[in-house]
Amino acid sequence: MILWALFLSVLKSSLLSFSGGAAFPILEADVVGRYRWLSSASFATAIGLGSVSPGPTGYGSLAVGYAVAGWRGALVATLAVILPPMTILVLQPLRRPLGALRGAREAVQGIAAASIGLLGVLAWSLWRGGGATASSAVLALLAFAASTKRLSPPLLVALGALAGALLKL
Amino acid sequence: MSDDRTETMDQGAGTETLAAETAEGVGASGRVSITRIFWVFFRLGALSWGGGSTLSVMMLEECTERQRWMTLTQYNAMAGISRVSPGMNLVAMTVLIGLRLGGAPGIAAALAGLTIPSLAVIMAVCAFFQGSPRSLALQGALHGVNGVVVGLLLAAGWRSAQELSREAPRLRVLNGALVALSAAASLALGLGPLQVIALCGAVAFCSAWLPARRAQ
Repeated sequence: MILWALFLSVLKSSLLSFSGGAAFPILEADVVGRYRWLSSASFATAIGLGSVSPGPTGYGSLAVGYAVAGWRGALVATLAVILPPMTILVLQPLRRPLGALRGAREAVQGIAAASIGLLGVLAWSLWRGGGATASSAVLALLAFAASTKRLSPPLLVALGALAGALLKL
Repeated sequence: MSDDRTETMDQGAGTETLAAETAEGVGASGRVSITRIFWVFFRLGALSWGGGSTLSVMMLEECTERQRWMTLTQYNAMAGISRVSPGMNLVAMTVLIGLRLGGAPGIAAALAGLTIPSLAVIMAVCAFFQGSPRSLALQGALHGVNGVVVGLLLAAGWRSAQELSREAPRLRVLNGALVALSAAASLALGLGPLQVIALCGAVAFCSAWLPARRAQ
């Protein structure tokens, strides 16, 4: 059933990432690559619409859930992103012994480094999936610059939508 | 980094009730009422328009200054612990704060308060776009959104890179190489994200045995 597969995909992406955005490349591999629920462009749209909301960045997965299976998909995705951080209740007492293990810290940092490379690859493949146009490249560069200056994602998405609509008219 | 701060959190739990009692909604036991936990997190969830960085600043101010639920040291100790959890650190932080203020019901109230506004807004925005006619302007708008998303993902990667280089300044070269390796393994070798993560995690794990590291 699609809801169960969606739950497992979102759960996996959340379990294997240590920050909100890092989950998206793992999620894309399932949603676009493996199951073909969404096209690359629809996946990018879902992430974009998911950013037009308050709350943590990783809640963008809820919009992907909605795009795949409507409101039920959004609810299933909500459950799947909340469960992995709940493991902190179990990990909290184990933190010292785990942290003392040789290589544990390095491994976690290595995973963080991998997530950075994967985010770059995801950005590249979503740009190509969206038609690889010059206008979207310019918008991407502007959004990157503005976001590093701490401009809020909902504002940037709204401005991008406006710019895109004006370019078509 | 925050290893030495963890004890202060436990010691501070008793003395902190004094400060907490001056705040509203604190019961006789020193616990915060469930409805208050829910509403404070609901406000955080509803007003943090700006992604994780905005939310983390707001959460810190709310817990340490407005509600006076804990001191800055106690908050930072919890934030350090929340970083080890998989998934979103801010959700893990919400779980820890909810647990401290109200036990298991506190966790449920805090998570519900944080999540309901985002979920409602996301569903409304998605439903609106799904129901709109496929006009040329809408197609253009969605194309514009896609461009912005590409930039936002790059910015998320950039912020993670800055954070990683602050966290492990000695391993900058290795971690930089791993970023390049992960991109190359994904693009050139066609490895899936899980395989890339496993590969980079394994290489980094082995780096703990490098002689250069032992010398430090």
